[in-house]
Amino acid sequence: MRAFSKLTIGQYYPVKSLLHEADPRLKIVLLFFILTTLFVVNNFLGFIFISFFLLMTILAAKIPFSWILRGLRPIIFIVLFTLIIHFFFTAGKPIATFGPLVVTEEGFKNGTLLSVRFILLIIVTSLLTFTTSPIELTDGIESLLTPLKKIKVPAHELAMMMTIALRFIPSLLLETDRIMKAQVSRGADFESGNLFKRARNLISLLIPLFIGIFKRADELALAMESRCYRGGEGRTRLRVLTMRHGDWLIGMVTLLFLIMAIFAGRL
Amino acid sequence: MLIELKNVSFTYMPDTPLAQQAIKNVGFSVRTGEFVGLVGPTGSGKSTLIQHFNGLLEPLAGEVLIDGRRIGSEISALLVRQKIGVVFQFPENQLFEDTVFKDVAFGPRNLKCSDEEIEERVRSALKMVGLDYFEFKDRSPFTLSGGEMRRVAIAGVLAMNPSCLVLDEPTSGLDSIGKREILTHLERLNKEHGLTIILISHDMNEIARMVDRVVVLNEGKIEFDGSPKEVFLKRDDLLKMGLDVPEYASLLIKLNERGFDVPLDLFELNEVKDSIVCALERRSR
Repeated sequence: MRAFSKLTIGQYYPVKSLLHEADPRLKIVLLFFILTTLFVVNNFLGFIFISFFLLMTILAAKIPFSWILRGLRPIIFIVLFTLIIHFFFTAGKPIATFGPLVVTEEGFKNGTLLSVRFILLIIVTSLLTFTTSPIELTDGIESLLTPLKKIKVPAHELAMMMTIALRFIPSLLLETDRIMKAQVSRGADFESGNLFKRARNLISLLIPLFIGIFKRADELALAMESRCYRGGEGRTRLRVLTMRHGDWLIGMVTLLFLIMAIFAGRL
Repeated sequence: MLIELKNVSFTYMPDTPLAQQAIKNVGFSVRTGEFVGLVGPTGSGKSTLIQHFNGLLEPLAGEVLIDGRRIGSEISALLVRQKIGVVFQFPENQLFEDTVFKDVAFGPRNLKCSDEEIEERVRSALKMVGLDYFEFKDRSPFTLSGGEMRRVAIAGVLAMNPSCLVLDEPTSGLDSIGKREILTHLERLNKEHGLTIILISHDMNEIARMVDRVVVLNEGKIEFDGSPKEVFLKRDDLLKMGLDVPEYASLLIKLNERGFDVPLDLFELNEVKDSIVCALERRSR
């Protein structure tokens, strides 16, 4: 129950900032460039460049660092696991020993690089969702996919499906929370007990949840049809996306940084 | 005191820009056997407040005592949930088993009751909500009418054998027959079984007719706490908060303002009618 309120990854952080107001299409494209750069860069100098750039971006986006850190919480375990596996199980020049385990130089380097890369990956991606509302995000994706309509990619339908899915995440979390609380009030225990008992208790949550989802889907379809929804053909939009001068500038600065990071990262 | 809240405050998503204080320094207690109505405009914190009664939410400040014992440290959460049964809004959404019997038995089974005890509890819980045990026990809850489903859900909480039942809008979305059935059973549970009941409702006529005490919550604070008569006399304040006043109370207050000598604490049609007839006769004399 508490877990949902602590999870910040994928959430929108509602403040006004340069980054919040930027065109979502720009942010999506830049995200792809940054992700690519993260995979191209292969040394610490490159990552320092990118980290510095991200630091500036976070400041510009007015997102508190505590939120960024909270977003990283779910991946701590994976990062630690990667680190340990790499430290101890890479062949190469030994630099330290812990009993039967040997840390190698290659292992140390690979493990740290991979972990840093992973952490930065999560930070950039969550920066996009922190600064872009789900609606803007899907509008952006739809707009970017539009050229692909020529090769029969159902851009509008995909975007609509995403919008609906995103729209229902909070509702479903709320519903899950409500049903969970109702069953906990009847003595159900979702947090302890053996596997069999937990599975049994989970059923008391999943069945009502699924019934609710089907009911909602049905009602939504009916509501959309009542308002004459028949796909994207000829549908006008309320929000029209525009690239402003500031947006072009953001794009240029980012690309400049990325080029520098790649150069530094391949030295 | 069955339930006692001392200076309880609660905030959703604290330390974020989305933080929202739902309960502000609330002190409030309920005695065994009371029938309390909890009213307040939408978003006033009613649903948040009742989740403190059985330990679903922990207060950010202050403490909640059940039978004088602190939830968590002096009394276990499971025992609290057995003692204080909470029926949430649209409780029929929590039904999940394939028969009514199994669904009502979910609570007692979690309490690790014996099979005989479970059957006994299910039987009496269904009886308390007016459903015939043999007619309903093997039916699927999903084939029942809306009102019946809701009564099965309430029976599922009653089967925990609570000493207090907390209900969040138990009649919303039901037709008038379904409403009346639920309310008469609640009244009987309070009068005959001595069950303490806390009822959240938007229907002031319902509240006025049934409860001994009305607690008005507004913006997370307790605004009024008293008998229906005391509280509904604050008609103007209640209307300002966006709450209704029972129609009879409204009528009687208006008649009183115009100089008719009528009592203000009547909430039943017949009593109101008689008192108005009396007042008219007195005046014409």
